[in-house]
Amino acid sequence: MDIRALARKAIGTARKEGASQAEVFAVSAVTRAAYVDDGRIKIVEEKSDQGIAMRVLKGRKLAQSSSSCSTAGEAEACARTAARLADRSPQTRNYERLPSPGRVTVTVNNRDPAVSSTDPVALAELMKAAVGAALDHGAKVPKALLRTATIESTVMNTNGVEVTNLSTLVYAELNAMAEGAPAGEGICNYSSPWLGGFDPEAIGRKVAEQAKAARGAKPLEGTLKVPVLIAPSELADMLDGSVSFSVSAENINRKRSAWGELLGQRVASEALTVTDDPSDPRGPLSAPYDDEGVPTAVRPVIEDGVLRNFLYDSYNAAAAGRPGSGNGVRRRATDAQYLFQSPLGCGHLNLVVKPGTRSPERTIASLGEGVVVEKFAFPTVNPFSGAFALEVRLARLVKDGGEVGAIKHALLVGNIYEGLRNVREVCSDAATVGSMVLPTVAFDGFEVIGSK
Amino acid sequence: MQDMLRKAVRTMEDEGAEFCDARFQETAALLISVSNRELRALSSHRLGGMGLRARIGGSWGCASGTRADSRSVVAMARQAVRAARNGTGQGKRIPEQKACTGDFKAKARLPPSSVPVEEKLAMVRDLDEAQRISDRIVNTNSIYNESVRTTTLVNSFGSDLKWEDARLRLIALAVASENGRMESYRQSVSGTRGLELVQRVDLGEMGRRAAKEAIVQLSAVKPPQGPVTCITDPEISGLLAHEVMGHAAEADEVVKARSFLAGQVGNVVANEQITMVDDGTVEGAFGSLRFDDEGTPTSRTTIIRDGVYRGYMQNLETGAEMGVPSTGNGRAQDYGRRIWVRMTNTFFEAGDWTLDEMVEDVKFGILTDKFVNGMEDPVGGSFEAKAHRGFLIENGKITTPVRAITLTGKALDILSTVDAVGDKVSLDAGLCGKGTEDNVPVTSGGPYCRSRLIVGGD
Repeated sequence: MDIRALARKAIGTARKEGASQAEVFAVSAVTRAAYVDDGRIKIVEEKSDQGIAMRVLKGRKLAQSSSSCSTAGEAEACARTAARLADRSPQTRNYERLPSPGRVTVTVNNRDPAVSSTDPVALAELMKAAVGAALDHGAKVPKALLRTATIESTVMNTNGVEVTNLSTLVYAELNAMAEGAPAGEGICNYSSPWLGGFDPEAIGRKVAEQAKAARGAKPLEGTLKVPVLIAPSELADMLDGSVSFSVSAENINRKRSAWGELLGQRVASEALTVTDDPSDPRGPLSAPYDDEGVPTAVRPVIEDGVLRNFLYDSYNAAAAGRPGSGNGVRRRATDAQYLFQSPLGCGHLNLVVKPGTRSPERTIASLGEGVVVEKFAFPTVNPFSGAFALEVRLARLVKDGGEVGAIKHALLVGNIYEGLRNVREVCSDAATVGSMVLPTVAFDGFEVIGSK
Repeated sequence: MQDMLRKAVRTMEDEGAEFCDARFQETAALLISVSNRELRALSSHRLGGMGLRARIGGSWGCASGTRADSRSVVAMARQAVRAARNGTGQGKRIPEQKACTGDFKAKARLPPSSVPVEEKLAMVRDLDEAQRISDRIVNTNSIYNESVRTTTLVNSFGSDLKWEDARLRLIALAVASENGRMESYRQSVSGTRGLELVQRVDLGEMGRRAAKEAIVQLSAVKPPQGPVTCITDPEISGLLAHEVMGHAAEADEVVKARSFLAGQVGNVVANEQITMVDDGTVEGAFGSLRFDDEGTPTSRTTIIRDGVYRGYMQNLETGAEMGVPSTGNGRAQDYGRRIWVRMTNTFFEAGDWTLDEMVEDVKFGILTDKFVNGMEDPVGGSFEAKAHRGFLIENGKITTPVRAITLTGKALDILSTVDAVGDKVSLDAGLCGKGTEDNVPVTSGGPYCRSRLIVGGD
């Protein structure tokens, strides 16, 4: 049976089991990948999966289940499980209706036919080219992967919602190593719905240059309090743990958002404008409907530094007594395996930071002193307090408008919520990193702590 | 199902695979989440599917899918072999292994499936209620997760196995707020046991402790910055074991010379008080396994003994490459993802210092408390470990609480500065990624350890 027929089967079974309302998120995906180990193509693979995630309401009793699903029996079992769990569930405070059909407000094309037609052997050839480019520029590639996925997701419910989103994603990660004592490592990623943008020569060269810079980097001595530029690849996680966390209605509802009471107020410097833009073809999660089947919309989140909107899925919208904003999300931006297993979250689809007018190079040229961070170990921030201290694996020191050397073994310390109020400049570059499109941003007020 | 797996293996062999295996995995899980007295998730999850691997000349071809009918299985098997032929990997042939057979159930005195959902729900709600000790607690979170994964595996060496891995975890996370400042604290219990694990926990105390410590954190001060004498608690000691030495001791990083530990066997890499192991057989620990995902029984690997580097964790492929047996560390997140060399339960062994003795000697330093996350650096030999909070140590006394701290430094430098190792070991559960993907359940741990680290926090 095809996945939509299985979804209908599941809805019918839930009804028979006494559900007053039922919803199915049905998804099938084909993932292809080529892995590089030690400069050679180590693994070539093709994986297919499909499954369903169900939500069942009995009155205001809500429960969920998910299952990989290829047969009618599996669809029925999944529905029965959700219905029986709903019998045991206490009533929700406010949630009594799954979404109703709505009119589409955005159009988006983020399905690349080349992804569906490119087999894993062709992916392996692209990776060989990237590895070759890195070698040509002085670094070997001990570890890398290139992955594509073709995704079809359908949401249907007993209120008449039946929508399908078609999308593709491409994700690559290259780890390069410049040999020496000590060795240096570079890590570069590519994420996009589009395979055509993956330039093996460019990414191979970039990761090799990063590895060589890391090899030559010196431990920082002392402490610096200077402007800090953070590359998009590193800033994305920091904004995900702060902006995205704090505008999610789930966290507003749980009273743990730092911005819960700040709607309409300034939360960032005027230079910062952030929009959730599901119409943007650069976003792997861009879609006309969210994963509850609610129409999405282009929505300003921060406008010239002022907090404009929170993002709502249907559950948290009901808790707030307002309509949803089409921000119920199950899909992920960098891989598509078993999406039916992902819990329904409340968050952005494609967060876009409006670029400024000057390139990072021109911004750097304007600095008397500064630090440009290219690579952190793991750029997470405390979403409640905003505090962070991040190990710098590669950064460049700036003096009198020019780069004067690379550093590592240092900590960048600060508070991201304060940092957003102290944005010095938003640069004009733009990179897609997971479900964000963002430029390099320069901050004032952070400290760089050296190892001596 | 075993018949289908045998058919897959036969097909891959007929198509030319030098080694191949076929796994069917089915995971059943239950999640209950309560926040601010409201049920936020009552959900059941099932994931089932087949993963096939074929090896030809040092390259692997993999295929996976949810369909287990004969036609689909044969098609997947051919696809895997075809894919393997397109690799360019080099490597030694995996030598014949002793075949493992049998059917093994998870060890649980009180299997979660035998307890009604209503009882589990009541338990989670009690835990959530216990956190509400003050108006300053603005958010309470209580999460219960149980899972049973059944793996059926057949390989070309004749292994024919079926086994269960059962895991359970209960977490309380309280968020406190005052004057615009927000802080949190968590308590958790976890293991590869049944519900008896939770039944012996005082849930009221667990919830109250999470809330009380979140409130304590509201008055915490900014931590010191730079190189500092640091007494790491068992969780952070474990994170150091895991991030500093553990990832770099995974042999797949070693065979491609990506690890700073390549060629270090027999060398002194740490203070002589340091002994570190990875042990997948620890009874009841969250990272324990009966077999790894290649069907090799898990084992205890000594990585450092008395400061001397002893060896690496291995899977079938790296063992073949290095001429040693697999240590049972070939693990994958699920049937459809790559098998890498991965840790299980990684920890420093106990020394003979009490915590009081360690603190007494410190003029100025910090004592850490609980991990947030960490990141390895096998190439550069550094590490990052984030601690939830800490306390200042001043003139031999534990004094003021400090906010979240990040610890970093060069791995070999840190371990050589360890001058005191505590007398009690405890383990804590987590999920470990290889880089940022492929998460597997692990524990890490150790005793309190005193060393010199670079720290910072805001």
